[in-house]
Amino acid sequence: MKGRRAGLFVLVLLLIIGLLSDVTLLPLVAMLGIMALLAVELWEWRMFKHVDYQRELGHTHLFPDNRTTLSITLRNRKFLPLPFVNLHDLVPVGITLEQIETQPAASPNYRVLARAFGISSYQQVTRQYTILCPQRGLHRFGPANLSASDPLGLSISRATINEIDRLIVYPRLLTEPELGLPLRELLGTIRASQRLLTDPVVPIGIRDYTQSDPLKSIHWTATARRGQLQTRIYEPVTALTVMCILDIETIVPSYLGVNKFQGERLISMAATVCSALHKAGHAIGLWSNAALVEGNTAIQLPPNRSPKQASAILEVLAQMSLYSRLEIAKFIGREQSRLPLGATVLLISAVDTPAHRSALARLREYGYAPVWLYLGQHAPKVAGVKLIHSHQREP
Amino acid sequence: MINRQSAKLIVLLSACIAYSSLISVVLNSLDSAGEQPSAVWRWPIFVFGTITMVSLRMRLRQRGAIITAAAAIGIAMVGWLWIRSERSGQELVLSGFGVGFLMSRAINSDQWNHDWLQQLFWRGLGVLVAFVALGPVMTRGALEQPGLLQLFIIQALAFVAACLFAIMLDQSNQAELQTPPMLGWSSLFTLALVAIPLLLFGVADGQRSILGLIFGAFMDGLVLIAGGLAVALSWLVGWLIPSFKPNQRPPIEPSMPEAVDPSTLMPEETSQISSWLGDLLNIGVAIILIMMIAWLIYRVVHWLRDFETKPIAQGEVVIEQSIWSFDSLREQILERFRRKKPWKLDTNDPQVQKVRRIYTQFLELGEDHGQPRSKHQTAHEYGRGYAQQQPTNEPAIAELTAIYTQARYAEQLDAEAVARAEQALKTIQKQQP
Repeated sequence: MKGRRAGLFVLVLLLIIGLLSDVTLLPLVAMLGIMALLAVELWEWRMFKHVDYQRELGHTHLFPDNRTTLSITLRNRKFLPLPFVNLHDLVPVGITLEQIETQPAASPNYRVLARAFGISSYQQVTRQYTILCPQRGLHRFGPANLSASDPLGLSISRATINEIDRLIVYPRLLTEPELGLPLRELLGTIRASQRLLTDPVVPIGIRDYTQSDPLKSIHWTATARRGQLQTRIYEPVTALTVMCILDIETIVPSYLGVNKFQGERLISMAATVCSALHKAGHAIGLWSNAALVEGNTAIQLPPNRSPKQASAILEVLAQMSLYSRLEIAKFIGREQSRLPLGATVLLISAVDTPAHRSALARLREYGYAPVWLYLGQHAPKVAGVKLIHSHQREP
Repeated sequence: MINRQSAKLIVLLSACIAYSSLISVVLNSLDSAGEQPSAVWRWPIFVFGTITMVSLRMRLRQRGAIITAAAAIGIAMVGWLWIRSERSGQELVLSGFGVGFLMSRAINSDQWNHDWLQQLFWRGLGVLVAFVALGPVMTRGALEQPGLLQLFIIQALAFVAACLFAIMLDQSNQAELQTPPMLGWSSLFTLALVAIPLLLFGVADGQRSILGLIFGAFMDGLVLIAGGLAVALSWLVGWLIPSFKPNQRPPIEPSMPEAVDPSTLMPEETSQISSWLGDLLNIGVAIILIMMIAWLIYRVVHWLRDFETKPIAQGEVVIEQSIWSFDSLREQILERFRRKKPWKLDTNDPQVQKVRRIYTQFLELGEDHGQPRSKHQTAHEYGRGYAQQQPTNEPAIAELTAIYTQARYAEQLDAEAVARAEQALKTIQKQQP
């Protein structure tokens, strides 16, 4: 800036000298330089005024291997055109821009999408890309750096757009061969011990009338046919309350690191089981000792059978990191009082430690029905705990 | 497609034309005898320069390029001085060596990058200014002749324009960008930048028409190339066919008219018809010329448009939309003249008001440098974001933010808070990149 101003001063001086000394070429060249410098000043002054940058994703939530669009729009709402605008936008490594090359960024979690724009007065330019999302996770786009120069490329102005866009890619839902066990076995046969509630819309048979039966349940047609009072039998309404507890630890002790394959399989298994249970009409909740990618809050979704619960669970699982905040036994011990009475506790884990066994045994003592979905290599045995074993070798 | 190599070629070609023009001007300034001596010198120098540069482009490094260029120019100058030994050639050698040095720098491919191009531009401009300042003295005033002056100005400025053009191309052809946006617009801007001073001076001097001035700049270079080729061709033909001597025909001796009988003269109408025919022919030729120029312009514009709108990369969809509306324009113009509402400061303390005004200046400064404060951002959040962009300003930003927070939320303000806030703002303003 200082050098340019000094140059401007010298050129003005040369212009004056040239005009006074009757040397024709000198003022001509000086004027050329002055015009170039003034143009540079003008562009530098008004470069990013009334300029907007917008990033838009076709979807904000996706399943793995789905495609969506990424649109970037640069808008110039002024007369002064921007002949050269270089955009360096950060895109997460977990997504792939189809047929577009990206460059390495300073952070290993990001790549740089480098594009050049040329925008006239009052113009907006939108560029659309197709992105493929192969990996589960919370993918953040941005911030973006804009650098623009005047038409001569003699000065460069920079701006940072701090807006962040998020794309959530849900965990992969496992198919039955990947699951390693039939889903029906996992859900089991559930029988209601007492038919407290029945569904009056779905009669499943008739039986002889007893005094405790309400009059409205008498099947008058069948009574007439048989000659004695008959009562309708309705389908019992039975729904479980399942608390799914996901232990994200894959290597014991946890400071030795994580097994990425097992970690992702744990999350996918939890997503599959929770989705299936929710689809079957059960109230499902999720606890985990994993840390979230953003924030340090504990993962505690209370059981619910509302339609939004499935997407809430998938969203949380998508944002889960593979690092644990706390040992699962300690976590269960601390939060046990919050478990709903009579709930089925489904522990999903890939490691087997005495602490796990004692935590499950304690749950059994307190009247809960613990089920252990174990993804490790050798199936453990714990008295009074239903164990389901599903192991898949790491490719 | 124009890529970096093409940009180099444009610069080199333009440098070559400017070089030959400069040398011819200098030669002209020293050769007062002939009517058009430059015609004799310009094409061989042009061809010579081209051959030198092409040979230098092959594999020679910078030092070799400089030495070769200097040696070639020096030999040419010695040859010229040998022919006209009665005059001093000191200034010729000096100026020739200077231009040769610039050229050899231009053709050194190892240092071809954007920064270097900018340096070349400013150094070239500096050399030009120095030459213009010293030229009249060196050439004993002969450089100030109007015709030669125009020629030199146009071609020397064409070199500068080519440098600027190459800068733009170079910037737009970086490997990661893959696109030359607004190429046509920038080229026009450069041409305008070069042409406006020329037009101003041309109009002021009244020496050339505007069209002639612009047209002359292009034509002169073309004539150089075509002339060189024509001479080379005639030389080749002469060498291949020794009997073909196009310039060896004996001159036609004019014969004295004999006495004419007035009764045998043609009637008046015949000469009038021939005059009309001549006019018609002239008009026809002019129309054809104009149509050719229009077609040429159409092709160039078409090419530029194709170039700008071609698919940037596979897998990328580009949508360009105009967002111009009269309302938005009116709003922006009115915004310039509308008086800003004074800030309603919920305090009567003048110290607090001053601090908040200083902080407002800081926010405006940030907005000018692409760091506008969002509505959801607190002062500290904004300060941290700003400081990340300008680490050298971090202490000053932190201090100003702290003083503002104190002024905004605390009941009492430090006695020296205003002075410290002003100092912090000055520091930030000074260290702006």
